[in-house]
Amino acid sequence: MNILEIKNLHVTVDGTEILKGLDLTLPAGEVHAMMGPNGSGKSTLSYVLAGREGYEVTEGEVIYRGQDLLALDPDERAQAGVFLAFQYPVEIPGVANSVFLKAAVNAQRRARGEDELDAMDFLKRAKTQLAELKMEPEFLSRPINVGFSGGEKKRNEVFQMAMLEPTLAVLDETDSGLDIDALRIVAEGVNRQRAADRAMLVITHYQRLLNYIVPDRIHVLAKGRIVRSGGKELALELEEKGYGAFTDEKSAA
Amino acid sequence: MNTAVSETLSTADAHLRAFATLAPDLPGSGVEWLAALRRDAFKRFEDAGLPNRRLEAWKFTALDLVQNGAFTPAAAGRAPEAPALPGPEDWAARLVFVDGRLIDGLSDIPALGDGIILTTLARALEHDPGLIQGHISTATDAAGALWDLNAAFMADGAVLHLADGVRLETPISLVFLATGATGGASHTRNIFTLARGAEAQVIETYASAGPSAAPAFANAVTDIALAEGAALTHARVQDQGPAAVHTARAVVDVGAEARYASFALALGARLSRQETDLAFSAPGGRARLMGAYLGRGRQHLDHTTRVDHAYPNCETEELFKGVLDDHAHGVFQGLIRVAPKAIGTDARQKNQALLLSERAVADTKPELEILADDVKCAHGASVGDIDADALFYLMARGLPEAEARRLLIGGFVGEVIDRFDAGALGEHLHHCVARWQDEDAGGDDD
Repeated sequence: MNILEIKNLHVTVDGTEILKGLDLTLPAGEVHAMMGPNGSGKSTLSYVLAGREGYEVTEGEVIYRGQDLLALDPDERAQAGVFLAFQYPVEIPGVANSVFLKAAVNAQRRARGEDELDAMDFLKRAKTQLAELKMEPEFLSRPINVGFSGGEKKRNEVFQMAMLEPTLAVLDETDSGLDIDALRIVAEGVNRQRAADRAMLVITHYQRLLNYIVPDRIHVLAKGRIVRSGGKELALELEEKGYGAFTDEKSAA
Repeated sequence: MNTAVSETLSTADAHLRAFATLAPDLPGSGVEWLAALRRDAFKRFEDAGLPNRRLEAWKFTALDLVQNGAFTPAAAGRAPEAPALPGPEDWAARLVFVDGRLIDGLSDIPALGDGIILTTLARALEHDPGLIQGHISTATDAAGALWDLNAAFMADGAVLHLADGVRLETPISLVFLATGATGGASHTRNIFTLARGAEAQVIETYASAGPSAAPAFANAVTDIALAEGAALTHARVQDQGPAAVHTARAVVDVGAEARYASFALALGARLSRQETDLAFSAPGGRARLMGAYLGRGRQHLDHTTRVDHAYPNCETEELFKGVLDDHAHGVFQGLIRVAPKAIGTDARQKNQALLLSERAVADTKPELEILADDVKCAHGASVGDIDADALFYLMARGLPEAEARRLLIGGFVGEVIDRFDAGALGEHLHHCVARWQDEDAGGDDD
C-alpha cells in the first residue's frame, strides 16, 4: 500500500512556479530521502504537504492513503496522521510545551474517535519520550521553542513526532544546526519511529544525516522536479560529484 | 458648542448640589483637615470640569457617558442578598463594598496579627484619622479632575497598614460591587501604607451585581506608600457590567529600595480607564507595571501610566498587552519622566495589541522625557493580528483553528501575567482571562 502518491505537482508561490511537475510514490514501511540544492523546492514540498497558506497548487494531485490530501485543512491533515518537522520551528511565548502538546495529542485522538489522554497518562508518555531523546522533564513547562538552541528546537520536533505517532512524517532539514551528538540522538529518535504501516520523507541538503537515517530510496530534486532517483548509494555519488552533475543545466542557486 | 457648554454646566450643577447635600453626611465630616481637603478638591473639580479630549492626557478617551449628568454621587444602595463574589479563592481577609460602602455581612476581616491594621476608610476616619492623614492624594492638574471628584466624595474603601518588617503571605481581597440601583457613582478610596521592609499582596476586583445592563459609575483611587525596602504586589481586576463606566487610579510612592508590582486587567465595562501614577521618592526602587485589556463589542479600555524617576538607580519595567475584537477600542498611554539627577535609571516600556477584527482600534502613546545622562530607557509598541506562522504551527499539529487561536491569545496575555506574579494572584488572573475567552462562544459582533 502506498502512503503517499504525488502526481505531476505544480506549485506557485507569490506568482513564481517552484514545483514544476513533481512525481513521488512513498510506500508504507519505507523511508525516502529528498535531496537537492538550495532553491530546488524542497521546503515548498514540505509546506504543501502540511497545508501552509500561500502555496498554490496549479496542477497535479497529492493522494494520502487513498484520499485527496489537498482538500484537507492543516489540522485535518495532522489529525489524519501527517506530521511535518519544521525546518524553522516557531517560538510561541506564553504557551507551555506541555499545554500545547497535550491539546494537540487530544485533538488528534478526538478526531479519530479515541478517548482523550488524562494529565497523568500524558505526562507518563511525555517523560518516557523525553528520556529517549535525552531531554530534561523541565522542558515540558517551558514556552514553545522560546529561548531554545537550534538543537533543542529540532529535538522538540522529534519529541512531538514521537508523541503524535504520525503515519506520514516529513522531516524538513531536521539535521541543520545540529552538532554530531545531537544529530545522532535525533536520528535515533527518528529511527525508532520507523514501522511497517508508516512512511517518512526526509528532506536534507547534506548526505551526513543519511549515515544515521538510512533511506530506502533517495530522490534528487532540482528546479522543481525529481531529476534522479536511486538507492542509498546515490547519496555517496552526490557527495562525490555535487548536485551540478545531476541537473541538466547549472543551477541558479 | 452651546450644547456642550450647557451640558458641562448641568453636570457641574448636579455635582454642586450633591456636594452641598452629601458633604455633611460623608465620613470624617468632623475632621477639619479632611473637610478642607474635600472642599479644595471639589473647588478644583468645579474649575476644571470633567476632562475632555482637548486635554492631551484624554486625547483618546471621551467621558461622554459620564457627562450626561446621570452619575451624581449615590446614596448608599441596598446590598444584594447573596451576590456572587469574584476574586481569588484564597485570601487572608476579604472586604466587600457595595456601591462604595462596606457590607459587613459579606466581608470577612479576621485579626491578621501584630503590626497589621486592616480597616475601612469610614472607620479610620471615625476612630483614628491620624492613620491616614497625609496619605490622601489629590489631583495635580486639570487632567486629574476625576481624582479630585473622588477626594471630594470618597465615602469608603480599604485601609491597610503594615508595620516594620511585617509580611502578609496571603492576598487581601477587596471586592467592589456596583448594583447600579441608585443610578449613581461610587467614589472609593483605598489607602495602603507599608512601613520599612513590610510585604503584602492585595487584589482589587470591580464587578457588577444585579441587572448587568444597569449603568454604574465606579471612580476609585488607591493611595500607596511604600517605605524603605517594602514590597507590594497589587492586582486590579476590572470586570464590571457592559453598561458600566470605570475610572480608577493607583497613586504610588516608592521609597528607597522598595518594590512595587502591579497588574491592571480590564475585562468589563463599556468605558474603562485605569491609571497609575508612580513616583520614586528615594534611590533604588523597582516598579513593574503590567496589564492587559481584553475588549469586544463596543468596549473602550484605556490604560494610562505615568512614572516619575526623580532619584538615581531606580528601575521600571512596563508591559501592557491588548486583545481587541469586534469594535473594541484599546488605549495605552505611558509617560516616563527621568529628572536630571536620576542617573542610573533603567526604564523599559512595551505595549502590544492584537486586533482580532478589522474594526477594532488600538491607540498607543509611549512617551519618554529624559533629562538625565547615563540612563537606560527603551520603549516599543506593536499592533497586529495573530501571528500566521504560529497559527500554522499549532494547526499542523492537529489543533483546530479556533482552539489554536484560543491557545495563542491565552499565551499572549499569559506571558505578561507570568511576568507579574507566579503565585496565587497570577494564577487567579489566568483564570480571569480563560473565563473571558469562554464568554466568546456567542460571537458578539454588535
